[in-house]
Amino acid sequence: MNKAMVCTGVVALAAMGLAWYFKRERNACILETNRLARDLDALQHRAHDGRQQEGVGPVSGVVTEAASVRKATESGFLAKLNNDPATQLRYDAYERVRFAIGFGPLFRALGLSPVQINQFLDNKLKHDANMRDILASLDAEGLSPSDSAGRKLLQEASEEYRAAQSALLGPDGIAQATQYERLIPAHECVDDLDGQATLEGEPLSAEQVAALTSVVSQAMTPDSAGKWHSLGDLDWSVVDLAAQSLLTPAQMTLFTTTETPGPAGSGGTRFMHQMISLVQAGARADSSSGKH
Amino acid sequence: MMTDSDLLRTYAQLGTEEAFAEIVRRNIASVYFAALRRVGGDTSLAKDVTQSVFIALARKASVTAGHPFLSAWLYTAVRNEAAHVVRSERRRRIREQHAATLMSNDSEIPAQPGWDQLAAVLDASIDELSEEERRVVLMRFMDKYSFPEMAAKLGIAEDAARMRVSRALERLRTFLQRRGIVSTSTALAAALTENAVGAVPQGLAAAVISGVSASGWVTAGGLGATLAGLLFSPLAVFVAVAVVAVAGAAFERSQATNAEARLSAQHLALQSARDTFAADQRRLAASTQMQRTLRTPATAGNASPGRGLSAIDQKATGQAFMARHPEVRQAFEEWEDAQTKGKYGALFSQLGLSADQVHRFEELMRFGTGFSENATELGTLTLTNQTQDTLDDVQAKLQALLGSEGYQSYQAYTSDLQGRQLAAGLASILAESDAPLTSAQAQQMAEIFAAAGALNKGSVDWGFVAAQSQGILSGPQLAQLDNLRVLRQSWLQTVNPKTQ
Repeated sequence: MNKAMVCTGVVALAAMGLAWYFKRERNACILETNRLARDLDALQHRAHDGRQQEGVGPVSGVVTEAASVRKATESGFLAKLNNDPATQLRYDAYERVRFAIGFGPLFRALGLSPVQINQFLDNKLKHDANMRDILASLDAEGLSPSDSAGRKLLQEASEEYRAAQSALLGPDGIAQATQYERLIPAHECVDDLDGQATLEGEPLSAEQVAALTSVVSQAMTPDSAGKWHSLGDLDWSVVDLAAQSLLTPAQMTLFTTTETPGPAGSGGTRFMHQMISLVQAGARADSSSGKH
Repeated sequence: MMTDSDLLRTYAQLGTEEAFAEIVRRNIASVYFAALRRVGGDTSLAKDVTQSVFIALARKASVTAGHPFLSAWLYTAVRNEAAHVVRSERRRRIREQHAATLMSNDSEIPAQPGWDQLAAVLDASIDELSEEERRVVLMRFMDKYSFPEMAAKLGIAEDAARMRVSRALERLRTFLQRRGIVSTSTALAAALTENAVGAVPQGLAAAVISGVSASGWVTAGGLGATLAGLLFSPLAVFVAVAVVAVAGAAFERSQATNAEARLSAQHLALQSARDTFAADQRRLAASTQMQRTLRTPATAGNASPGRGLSAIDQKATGQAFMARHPEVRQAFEEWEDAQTKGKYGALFSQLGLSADQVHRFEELMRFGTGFSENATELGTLTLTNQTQDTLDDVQAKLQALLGSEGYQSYQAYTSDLQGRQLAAGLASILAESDAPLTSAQAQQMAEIFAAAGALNKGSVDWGFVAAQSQGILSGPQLAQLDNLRVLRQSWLQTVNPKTQ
């Protein structure tokens, strides 16, 4: 009995000794960990301050230097959109209404229920968020969307989106939706004209809206080379010629000489897009000729 | 079916692991394959990235549950984690190149053992080395000291350091040979250089995890068995004291092991941060040099790249760009004039301005306008009109152009401009609907919008608009009016969060 008690006591004492030893080790580790954490924190602050001072984003490699500088100084909005949930929510709210308005005629043509419309918009918003993320990823890695990796990622995201919308709309519906989506700028262009013309006392009739939209859409549709045209690079002389037979002189003047910022106050139509096309073309020319 | 957000919220609030498992099941493929693509097809790295992403998701579940799209969050997380992994890989490849350089003088290299084969017996063989040999091997291949660094650290000549490493490697090769691994010292050095550091953190992590769980489990099992056997023994009290002491020791050991694991992780994080910081320093130097180059007068005269430039520099760059591309300047001015016609066309008619007067009006309205475009090849280009005029100058010239009465009409018209633009926007939204806005409705809405703006110091009082529109717009039109409100408010809040 006494022997057993002594043994047990020895075990208990040994265990307590071990406990004390391990606790001391743990405390030492914690102290060291905290010290390292402070070092790490200080280092990260120095790195952060350095980046802020120089306008360089936290991305890797000299290769991505230009992209990071550009991101820090010029793409502030996009960077915020990619990283700030509150901004994403606000932007999604904006996009949802914008799409609801833009796709409105398609929804009516397809006879979609409110539930289907919501699903369509969910798919569309999800797709756009995915595309933004992919583009941001490519940018962060110094890749271009035209690189094979970029093309593949974008292609996959597009296929995923198309599959989701196909499941919702069926084969005929998705064909209509795809075609419609490409031509939304044509609708916006004519709708904005009608908005301005209505205010000026020269509203377009429903037939005029449909006919002019068709003309602009036709001008955007792929040519023999298979290229889709934007509002910036389509042949406006052809559109204007066709429009003369559709619009009154007052409407025609508005169509060919005015520009409105659209319902959100953030857009533009033919003049803005033409200017953008020329800027991009000039930039490409400068880039290829080494004038920068 | 619960959405990902619902599942995540459930997990965050209730800790329901099945909810999180469902999220993993739903998203594992997309995350894994996204990771696989980003790490260049390396399945092992992709698995690591995938695991890290879901660990981060679990850690931030309460915050992420509010994210509008989990897939977007996952994409971003994969991107960040993969970028980190790729950085590590890049450093590893640099080490491989060093190893290749090291091997370059060897003319005869036998077939080398695979790393897996080597790794299985490496630790045991290193254990057989003497203290001094082990130290130089670890310094050279684990801590990545260069020979000059080793020499400085050990207080010996560089050649002596090389010799010690060479001897230690030869001994290590002999020990490995006994275990069936045949290799040259140089090939062994290359294999160690290529794999050692990459392998250690993984092994360490696994060892820490298994060590923590094993100690906890064995202790609990042992305690259970002991208690069951001795519960009614006369020694129960003593045993209970011993058990408590043993449990306390086991607990402290477990805590100490955890603390060691955290310390190891902190070491790794600090090392990684140091590497990143050093890389940042190099890149910052490169960036500073690049921006300095961009800002030299010689470049500015011919400049078009807008990247990294201040707003003033971007304007100068835009001017230089338009000087090289007069068609852009013309398009820019046409866009400005088209906007002016869109805004003031009704005023022109009202005042009966001639074509020349309209043209002069448009020129004056170009004051202060600008346009920024992110040109794919060159970065942001800011197009502006350069003028020496001040705003007061422009106002004076407008007054001279329109006459006193005309200028008053202009001022009144300008105060209603926002109302007109909103009314045109509403008409635009309704253009293809079954209930398009009539011109009379558009005019009435323009007045209401203008009044709502005046009531609220320029920002629209949408409650006032909704109330005033009740007798003017139909149900479907009112619904679109609400869409217009959301569109405008959400856009303004997106670009300027302080907007109410």
